[in-house]
Amino acid sequence: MTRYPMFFRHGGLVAGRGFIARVSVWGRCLFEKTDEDLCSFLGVNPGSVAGDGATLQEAHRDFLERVKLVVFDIADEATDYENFRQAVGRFVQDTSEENEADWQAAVARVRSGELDLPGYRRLDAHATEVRVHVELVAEQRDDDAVVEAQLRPGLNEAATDEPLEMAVGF
Amino acid sequence: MTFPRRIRLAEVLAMLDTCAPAHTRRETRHSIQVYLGKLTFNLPSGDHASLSKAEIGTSQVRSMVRQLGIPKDCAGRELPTLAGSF
Repeated sequence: MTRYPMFFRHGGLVAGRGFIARVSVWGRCLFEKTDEDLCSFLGVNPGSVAGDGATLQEAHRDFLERVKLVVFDIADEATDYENFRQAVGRFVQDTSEENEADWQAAVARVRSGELDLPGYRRLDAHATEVRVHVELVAEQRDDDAVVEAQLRPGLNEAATDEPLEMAVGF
Repeated sequence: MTFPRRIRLAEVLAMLDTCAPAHTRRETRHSIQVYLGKLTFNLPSGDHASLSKAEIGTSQVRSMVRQLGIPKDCAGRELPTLAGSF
């Protein structure tokens, strides 16, 4: 089994109680590939999600889908925009310690030249921060408007308005 | 190392009951949130409306065991197809 230290970027619009927000996440994860070519993405930040698939791309999409759905769940339960903003921040900053240790070990292997993932750019693991940006796009003044916003095509659907991006930490 | 890609959600929840008896869990619209102390993991709700038939990816289980600090020997006993993969 081989583990690669990855950065990912993901974002989109989310509707909640009384608000529509744009969420952008820059996080970390482990890409794991077994000898039988099973692919997994294990979250480091956020540490509470994972994804898998038959290929790297499929596992990556599954992982991002899980990130998105947890953010949707947070929006469902947030009392207001500020509550949502803080809860999303906690979700992303929640670190899986064991995955973090493996991530750092994988970074060392990349730096030593033992490990590489061709086709992906590299980011300095110690200079690249995990961050989440939440921006209020619009306020909704009644619950009916929020429900309508959630049903609006494209809203709370796959976050396609920001490019999916991955990089290898080194 | 070889292990399956999918596993029954009911087996995973039974493993939690045995190996992490102090855990709590609750359902959200898209997830089953599992809490153990101050730690949280968001399991997918599975691909079937019936819990007995729903399956999830094994990466979810492996990552959850690591994130929540669930004893790996216990998890491996309860989920033998994933033994050694945590």
